[in-house]
Amino acid sequence: MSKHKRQAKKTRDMSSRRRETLAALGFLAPNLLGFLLFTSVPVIVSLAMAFCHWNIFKPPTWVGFDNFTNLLGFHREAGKLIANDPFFWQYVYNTVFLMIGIPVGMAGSLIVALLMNQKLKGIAVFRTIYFLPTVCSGVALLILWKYLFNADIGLINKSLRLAGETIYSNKLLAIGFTILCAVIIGAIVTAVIAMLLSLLRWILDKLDYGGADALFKVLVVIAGAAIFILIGAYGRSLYGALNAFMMTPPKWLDTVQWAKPSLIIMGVWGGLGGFNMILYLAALQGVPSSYYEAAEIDGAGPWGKFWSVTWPMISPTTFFVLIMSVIGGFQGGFMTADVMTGGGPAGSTTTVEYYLYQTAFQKFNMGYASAIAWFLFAVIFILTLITWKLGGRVVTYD
Amino acid sequence: MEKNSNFKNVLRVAGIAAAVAAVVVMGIYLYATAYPTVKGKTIIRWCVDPSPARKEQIKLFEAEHPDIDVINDPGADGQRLLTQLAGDVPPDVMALYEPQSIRLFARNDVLEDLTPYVKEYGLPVDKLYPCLKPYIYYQGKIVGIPENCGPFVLFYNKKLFREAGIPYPKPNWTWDECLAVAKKLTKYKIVDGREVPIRKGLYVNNTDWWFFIWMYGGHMFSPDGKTCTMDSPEVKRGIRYWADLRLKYHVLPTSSEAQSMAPTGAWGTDALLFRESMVAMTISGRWLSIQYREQKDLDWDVVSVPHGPNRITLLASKSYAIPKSCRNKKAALTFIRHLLSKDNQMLLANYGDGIPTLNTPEVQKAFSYNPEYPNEKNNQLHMNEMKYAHAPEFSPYINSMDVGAVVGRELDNMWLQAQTPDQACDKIAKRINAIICRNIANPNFLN
Repeated sequence: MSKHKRQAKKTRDMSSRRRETLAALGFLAPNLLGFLLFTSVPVIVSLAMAFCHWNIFKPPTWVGFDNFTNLLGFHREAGKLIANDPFFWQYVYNTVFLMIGIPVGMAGSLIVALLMNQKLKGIAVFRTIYFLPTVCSGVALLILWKYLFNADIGLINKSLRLAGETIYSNKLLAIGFTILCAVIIGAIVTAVIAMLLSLLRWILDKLDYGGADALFKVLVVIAGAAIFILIGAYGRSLYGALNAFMMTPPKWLDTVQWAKPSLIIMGVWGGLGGFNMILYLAALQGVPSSYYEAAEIDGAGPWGKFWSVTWPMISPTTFFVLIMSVIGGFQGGFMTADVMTGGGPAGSTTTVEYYLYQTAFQKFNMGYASAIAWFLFAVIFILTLITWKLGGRVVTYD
Repeated sequence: MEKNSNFKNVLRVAGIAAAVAAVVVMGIYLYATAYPTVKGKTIIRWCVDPSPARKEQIKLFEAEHPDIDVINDPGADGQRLLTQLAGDVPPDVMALYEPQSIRLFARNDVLEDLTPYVKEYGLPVDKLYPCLKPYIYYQGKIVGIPENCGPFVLFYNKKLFREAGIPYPKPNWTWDECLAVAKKLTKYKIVDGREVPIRKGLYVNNTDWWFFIWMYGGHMFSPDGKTCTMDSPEVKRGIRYWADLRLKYHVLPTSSEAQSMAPTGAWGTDALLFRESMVAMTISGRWLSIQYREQKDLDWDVVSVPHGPNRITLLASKSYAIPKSCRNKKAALTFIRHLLSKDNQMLLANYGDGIPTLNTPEVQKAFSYNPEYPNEKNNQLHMNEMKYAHAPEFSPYINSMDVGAVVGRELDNMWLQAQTPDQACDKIAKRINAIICRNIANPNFLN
């Protein structure tokens, strides 16, 4: 090829690359502009506002770290340590408490995804049904749940009472039911302990301790046995507690004790078949069948195949879902508080996000609200970093 | 190949042109709607609730002032007003519904001082009910003009009283008399072996704590607003009485019972429960008459709110204010003057969702009897109650949202029987006083 031709080709390549770059920039421009204008500018402004007092009426005034000390600080009052903003820490607690639903919801999504991954006739119909809550109007669902949770006429309490009356009218049936519940409770508690112990196993593995696996199994068996013995010892109490729970069910959203668990139950239901299920389903369908065949040849049963093939292969999805759920958990709670509970009773369902909204748009204290927002950001950022660092080590990328 | 490329180019240019055109059209639309203009006319924007009376009011005003057009911008909540003010598209006339809101806007120097215009525009401020002062003045300046108002009264279901053989209540009745009646009117039925209320004697909204704070002569704040006096023996006694109505005598529905009883299932408001005869009596204002009068099978009347040693009721009103940044001040002032004119006040008297604020015999007469609603013979009672009406208390040292949050939270715990009424009052006073101290030390918290 002559020098002239090479030069011409190089020029053509360059102009083609430039065109591609321009096209790429053109496509990116609207999003980038939108991000710069509507996201990054407000973010920077809110950072500045966090150090100001601004009530919209008047220009902002610089107050230094006042907003943060008032939000996060404590002072002594009659020898006691009192939070400068006594409400805020309760709302942080509420927010964290409501996040208990995240692992339960994730486990539920995975189970539903496993079910939806079966080769059954009409499986698309089931998938659609399970995805329905995600496409339904959030407010409508919250209204529906408020009705379901009604202490007197709600479907949940009516069902509990009906079941209670049926079960506890027959002593044998009641005992059988108590045993069944004991087994379920025992299994759940054992599973939770096993999960915590698996963390210990992982640490021991990292420390190159040879007997980590055996130790894990022994500890799980001991813990499981202890839990079941304990439940057995308190069988009579469990019988009474279940009886009381079913015959006089809780006043779900009307009591401080049950309002948060009610919202968790609702959240788990909403999350079961939502986007998490879709993500898990996609991940499950991406696991090569050859891996399962190899596991079968090695003698693995369904349980073994799940732990040795499925679980590691979908770990990137689990990792992603966990991070997004934690972020969403800290940013959540506005709609439920606004539509269902008004943040009550006694502030028990007010989350940091709802408090931020109240501070900004009802009290018009934008500086303080910005400080709350930046505190929230810092918490989410640090937790995401920790999850990233720790989670990244257990995620298996094929 | 070349044709295809040309077509793509045309599409590209058309797409960019369409996007630019859309932005331009949107800009023009936003500008035009922010500052509407009609040649030879001044257009003013009136931010207020979209009551059906507004149309008539605007029609009346425009007939008298053909050079001014009024647009009803429906809704006047704080967020909306603040957004408009911050965006420099202020309403010309805006409604403020609480003395606390008036204080918030006035304190931040947003409201026009109307005092100098009283003479020029003949604003009859001296002819308004004296109890409306918190809706008019801020630090001695006139910042708002209330158009109508309503003292809280007790609505009762006459049919249920007749069926129970109970004589209708008299205007100066006491809480003890009301309790005795409420007990008789509360009914239960057995559902699935459980006693379920089908009707409660009385409904008092959870946020209407003022009746019980004032009942024995108590107050929420000291006169200078620097101390919360919820822990005073008078207030504690009143709150104990309120708690007993629900928790001891069960004549008030709990929030859960109210939701269960309401025909909508999970939602129960005082109006709905009263309309469906699920509560025999409810405490609210004149505005509910508009709903009740449409329900032909509902036989109702009003009587004064029961009283304790201290006869007092809650006052509700709304004030119209002009923002300082208003671009059509003259037209806005003309409109505000019109709102207090005899014609507009007579129109409001006939509509009847509140007492017209102009305290003149002619307007009073029009309000006291409307031939369209001959059953409403007791309208005079609303005006009589103005003697006992009192606007909600507030302290200049604490935000009403903070007060609401503290009181609501502690009363919630009282309703849940997690604490006694006395404990609730002590905690409310302690918490509110702590916030007041903090706000005095650091006014940035106050807004």
